[in-house]
Amino acid sequence: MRYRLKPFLFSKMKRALLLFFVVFLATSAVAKNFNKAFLMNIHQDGKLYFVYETEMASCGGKGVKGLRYDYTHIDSDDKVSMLATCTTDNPTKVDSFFIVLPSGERLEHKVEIIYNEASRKGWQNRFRCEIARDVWFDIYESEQPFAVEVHMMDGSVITYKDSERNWQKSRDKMLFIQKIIELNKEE
Amino acid sequence: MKKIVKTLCAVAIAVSLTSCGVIGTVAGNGMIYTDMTQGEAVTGNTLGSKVGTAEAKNILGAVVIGDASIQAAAKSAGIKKISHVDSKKTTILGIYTTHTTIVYGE
Repeated sequence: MRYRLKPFLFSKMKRALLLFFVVFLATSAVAKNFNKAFLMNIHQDGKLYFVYETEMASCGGKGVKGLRYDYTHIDSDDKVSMLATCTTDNPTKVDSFFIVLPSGERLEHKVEIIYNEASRKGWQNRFRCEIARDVWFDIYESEQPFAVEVHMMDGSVITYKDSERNWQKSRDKMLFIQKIIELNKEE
Repeated sequence: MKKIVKTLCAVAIAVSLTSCGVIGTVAGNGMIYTDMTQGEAVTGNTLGSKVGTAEAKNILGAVVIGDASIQAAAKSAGIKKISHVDSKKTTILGIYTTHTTIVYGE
């Protein structure tokens, strides 16, 4: 009797543990908790929002690093600050930044270089550019992803664009955050 | 008997690994799951409009990589005057842990 109970108990324990992990992973995966994707702080000029860093894939194929970027915005301001890191194989400098809309329209933005440094991943170019608030809202309204072109001083151009799947996730997150911004904006 | 010993060894290894990957917070250690933000430092400067982050990661309690210093976070946003510093800590079963330093300033 005791010998027969042992394998039964162990298998029941394994099943219970497996069920616990499956439920834990499933709830983490299914629950779209965009509250963790950004920060909101009270600022003397309104409310300060920071959207945590995310990555946009490069169109240059495998081996070309993606563009890592984050957004900062004060709701009393009419512009959004985008901080991005562009990784290149050779030492160079970012010259200009374009947002390419699904319609094909290209919007140029001036860049402010934060720093350039070598890392184990390559040559990192960290820069800031200011995007008009209306443009920032419009690019996420579209169901098609926008592309981004980073023009370097050496003449090279790196294009980045989200895949359809990543665009859906990114768009859902940004629309949620933009809704929060709209709801909290002081009249 | 062999099966029991093997299971106990596996559990002991798993528990020791989770302990290595667990991150301490002001609210204690979350052995299974941690996701919290806490304050680290504050200065006399007013809240700035720039935000910078820097992250370090711990994988399986065996590999720890990254730079989560205040210096790295300030540098990432070009912050020259810091107003305050927060940190965000996450861990899942002690297997994957991240510590993100968040710096506010001008």
